[in-house]
Amino acid sequence: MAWWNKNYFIQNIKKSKNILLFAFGFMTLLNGISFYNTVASSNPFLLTIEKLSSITIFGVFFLPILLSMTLFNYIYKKTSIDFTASLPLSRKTIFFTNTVAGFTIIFLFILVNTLLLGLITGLSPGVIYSPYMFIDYFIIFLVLYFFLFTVSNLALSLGGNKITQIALILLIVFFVPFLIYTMMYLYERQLRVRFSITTFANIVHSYSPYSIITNGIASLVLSGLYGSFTLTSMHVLWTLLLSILYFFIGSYFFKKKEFEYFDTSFKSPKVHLLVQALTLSPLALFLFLMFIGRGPSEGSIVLLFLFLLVIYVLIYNRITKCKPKRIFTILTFVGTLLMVYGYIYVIDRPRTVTYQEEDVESISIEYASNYAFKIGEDLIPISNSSIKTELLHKIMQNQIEHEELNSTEEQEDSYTSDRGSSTFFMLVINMKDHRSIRENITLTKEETTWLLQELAKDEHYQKRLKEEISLQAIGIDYEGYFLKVSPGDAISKALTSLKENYPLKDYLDKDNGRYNPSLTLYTYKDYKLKEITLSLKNYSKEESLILEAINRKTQKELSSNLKKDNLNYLDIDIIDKEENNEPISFDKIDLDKMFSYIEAKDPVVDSSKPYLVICMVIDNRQYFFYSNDITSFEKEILNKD
Amino acid sequence: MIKVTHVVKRFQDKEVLSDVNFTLEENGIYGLIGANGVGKSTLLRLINGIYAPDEGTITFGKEAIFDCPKAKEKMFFIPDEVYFYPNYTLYDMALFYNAIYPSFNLSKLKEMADELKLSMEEKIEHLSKGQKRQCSLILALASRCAYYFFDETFDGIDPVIRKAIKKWMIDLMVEEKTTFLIASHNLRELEDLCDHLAILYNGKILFEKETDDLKRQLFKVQLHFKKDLEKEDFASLDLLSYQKMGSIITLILRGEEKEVRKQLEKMKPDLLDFIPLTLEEIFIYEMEALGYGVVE
Repeated sequence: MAWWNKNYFIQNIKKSKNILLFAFGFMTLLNGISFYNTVASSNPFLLTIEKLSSITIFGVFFLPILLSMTLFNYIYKKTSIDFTASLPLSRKTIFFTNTVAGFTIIFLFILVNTLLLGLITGLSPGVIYSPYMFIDYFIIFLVLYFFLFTVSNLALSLGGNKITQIALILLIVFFVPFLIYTMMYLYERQLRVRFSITTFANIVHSYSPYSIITNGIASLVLSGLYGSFTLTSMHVLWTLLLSILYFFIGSYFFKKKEFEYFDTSFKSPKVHLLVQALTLSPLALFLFLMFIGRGPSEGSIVLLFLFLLVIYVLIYNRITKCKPKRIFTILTFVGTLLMVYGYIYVIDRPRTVTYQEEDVESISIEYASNYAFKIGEDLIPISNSSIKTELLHKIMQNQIEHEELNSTEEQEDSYTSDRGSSTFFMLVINMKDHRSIRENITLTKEETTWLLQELAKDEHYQKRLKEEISLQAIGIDYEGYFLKVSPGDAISKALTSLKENYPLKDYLDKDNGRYNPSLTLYTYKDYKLKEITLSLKNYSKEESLILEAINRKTQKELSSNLKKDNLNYLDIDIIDKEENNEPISFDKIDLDKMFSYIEAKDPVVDSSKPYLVICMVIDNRQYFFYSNDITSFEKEILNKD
Repeated sequence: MIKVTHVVKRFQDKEVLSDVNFTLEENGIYGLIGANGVGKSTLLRLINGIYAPDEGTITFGKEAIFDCPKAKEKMFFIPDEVYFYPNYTLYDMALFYNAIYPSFNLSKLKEMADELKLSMEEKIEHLSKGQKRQCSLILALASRCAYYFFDETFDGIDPVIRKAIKKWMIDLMVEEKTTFLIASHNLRELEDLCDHLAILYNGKILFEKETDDLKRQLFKVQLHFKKDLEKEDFASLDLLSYQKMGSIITLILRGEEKEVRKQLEKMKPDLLDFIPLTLEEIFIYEMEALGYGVVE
């Protein structure tokens, strides 16, 4: 039996005319205009996957579902069912051909958008980006759209009408992750920030397509386009594998689909009730989370809960057009609520965890104020036993202090408060039984120094950090000046020299870079734009090379068609590392003379000696020029003796 | 040959068809009669593999029809409500069918469309209900299938067009030994067309016979006798109905006409008149004879 029918495929493409117009006309155009506006509004512009995805990610929720509903539109009407199901095509052929048509449209849509965004980026000189971002954008969204498309096809194979289809899509994509997130949330609700998740939960949390969708959406909506995808290749691969699995399950159920039940939810009232319970439970959890600890008295909340949930069940039964016996509907309703709130009762209560050192596999530092113990979202596990012992000891001590605080009913959240020069740490305890438990501790300055020294000796830790530093930088930020880095250019050479012998301690200590010239490297790996800030305190040679590269760039720009008359801002400073930096005051300056001076000047700078910084903003773009020849500048340009 | 064996179909808990059995031989026009909601359309959908039977089998040759494209290539179903792809013209639909049905004859379609004065280029959705039905019928006939299934298909088609279509159907039957199964509750529509008749009642096929046999074996006789005769006097005959209006007796009888005439002549009637029955009358009397006095 053939999998595919060319004529039916062509027919599928023809009937998708409206959606094609919407995707390629409206969405692509909107994507292009929105991206162009973002890119054009700032210069330089650091490109991230999130900024590339701003429009495309919103399309994930409706385009694949609309596409699936369009391609399979005949299953919702008796006349079209008669027409399609009586054609000499097997159901396998129909399902596969529809899927191929959908995939082709998705493929072309993502490809066109990738090329468009690539073209806009290529034509915008100020964009700092990695070409891999476009490949990743293409792969992520191709897989993600295809995933939602196959989920939607599976849902329509199982359900009878559009409402059921949407309910099933939400269940397939969100149900299990929602339960896990709720569980984590209920743990975190305790006074101490901690939670315990099982291996299964970990897998779902880390690898489910849900993560891509929620992290993508959350980063866009909550963080104003500056969040980060917590994605790995495993996410993408897992999503792809799930898509393939859902395709086969969908194909199986489509073959078995009883077209006579085209208007009701499910053939069996039992399945109808099961879906009622499955959709009711997240809603009950959601309401609990929404109203928890706020609003009117508990009695009113319970009544409000019940009212909303009953309304939901009534609507569910009405729109799905299935009428199981009333007693079963009531029993399912009560049973679901008992299960959900029983679950909350069991999980939502304070608990303490005691740690035996031999049960702990490793500890990762998730966050530390003032220190860079991790890069991006990657946690580096510390298995060094002396560090482990010390940290566990500290955790226990913290727990005792916390319990004492609780017993005296002090409201002050003192365990996270600043204890002078102490550092707040968020740790993840990785147990040998595969659980991960989050704990917070505060270390004094001495304890932190000890930890830094111990980590500097830890070979595994050193290796992981070195790997991150050695990634090819796509751009740098030197004291607020952004520059694109291309392999083999002057900056790239300076960075190579810098990276070779950069000690771990210098890297970890963010304070080191705070009051000294620092250089931020931008690298791109695992769908993330990573920032690595390095102090240049002991690296004058490398700093000089970077300054020279900036000078050359400025000279090149000035000698081109730059409209120098559009100077918006000018500031001149003297940097002297031995003494305080001081700005140079000037009343009148001959700009033409200054531009000619800069263009003719030798770009080589020695950053170990005092030097002059000329900061110019022309046409809203920043330009810098550095020179050790302070005297000649003052004499020739500022007319000072 | 299409064979329906012990087919049962339920919707939720309601049994719509129960133990349906019949065979569609090659080269014939079958009429499937039944009141509205009796399960005619469900049976046609089952035969055409749109629904799967809950019990029993439906086979084309030796193969089960459900999800079998090979069998479906030789079958064409026109449901009671016809469907065309949105924005399609008759020509677009023809191209689609031409690609899907191996024996589709495009030039034959154009010929029929010309004769019915149907535009090949006009969007079908702009046509009247009757014209849409004409489109579906000529598309079906042009597909040159071996079996056709029409569900109340002639509703809304005017008599002149109906006549032309019936002619094409008969031509097709003669040329290619095609079989038609026409489901209808309108017996007059089937009278001049069907050579077999099946009655569906309460989810069951009550009987399936050749129309000629039905007509030959069932007849109306009007009699007049000098003496006064009652129903019991005709006990030796297979009497389906007895009516006496004044001195005129009207009988509905089953049997061989010659034999019945001989028996009646022995009774020396003044008047003996054999009147042919319409299909509708045959249907009603057969149903009465089977104990189904009222067919809804």
